[in-house]
Amino acid sequence: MIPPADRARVIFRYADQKDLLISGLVAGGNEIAQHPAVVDVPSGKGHVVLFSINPVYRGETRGTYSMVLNTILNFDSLDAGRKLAEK
Amino acid sequence: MAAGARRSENPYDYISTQAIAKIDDLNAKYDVILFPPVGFFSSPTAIINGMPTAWGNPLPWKNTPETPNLAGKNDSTDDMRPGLGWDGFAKLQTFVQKGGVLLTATDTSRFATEIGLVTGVSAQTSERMKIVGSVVGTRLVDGASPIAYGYEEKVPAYCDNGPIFPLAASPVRADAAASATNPVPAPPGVVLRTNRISPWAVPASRLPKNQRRKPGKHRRSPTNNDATVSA
Repeated sequence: MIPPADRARVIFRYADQKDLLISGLVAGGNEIAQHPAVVDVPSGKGHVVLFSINPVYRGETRGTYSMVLNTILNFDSLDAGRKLAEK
Repeated sequence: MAAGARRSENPYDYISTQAIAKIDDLNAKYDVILFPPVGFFSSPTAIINGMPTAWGNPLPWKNTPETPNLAGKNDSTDDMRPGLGWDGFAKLQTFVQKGGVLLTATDTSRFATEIGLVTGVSAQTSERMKIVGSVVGTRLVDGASPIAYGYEEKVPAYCDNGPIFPLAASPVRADAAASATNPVPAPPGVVLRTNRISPWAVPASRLPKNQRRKPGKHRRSPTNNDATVSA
């Protein structure tokens, strides 16, 4: 078992399949529905923040820019609010 | 303030993957490194090795009298072919281990998981799914994280066939989670409800209230999202 403090922390997940598509084309979306979209993984003393989405795509995805800005501004306190209980 | 309208006074810099191996102490210079999507040749080995340099001519990316406006002022190189290199990878790994924050997206997230910058998370590639740059719905899972500050439950996001993360509480369980014959309990904060894993493998008490199935009702869930095109 990975100790609670070292576990990956899912911040956002993809919506359920019926709510997944907002605009564009999706086929077979059940493969990614409900799966993690943004994950914060502690590694050593630092963190790797994995995005499955593309938070900054050209000038278009302003709604998710703040996920990147939040990560930058809080680089030294990403563990804030982390649950450390065994479960 | 509207998202995207914020101004950050944080100093920033641009670094080429080719430059990372030559920087003595990344932590002394940087708190956060953003590793944006690579696109072409983005397999882990291609990011490390770059393009073959054993034959052919160098591929310069720089201004010359003939090409005065080719490269911007951020970067230029005499040869685009060399990649991050194993030395550069070691520098990135040390950067994280010593307290740095590395942010990756889509194919560089795949790089980070496959090359072993993180443990406990693997990245799968979709088998049949097609998402060619669509806006999809996402849901807030952990609002206590600083990454989610200012966000509410529903967030539309841009998805371009990004990696699929199955999560597990240990690397052993990550392997087991891929097997439908060996369902494992969902780790905290993760809802495993896919075709591969029976929803009944997850105790109802661990599912969000709106996803718990009511006993006695076995309706098929709607699948009307497949191959749907909207404006």
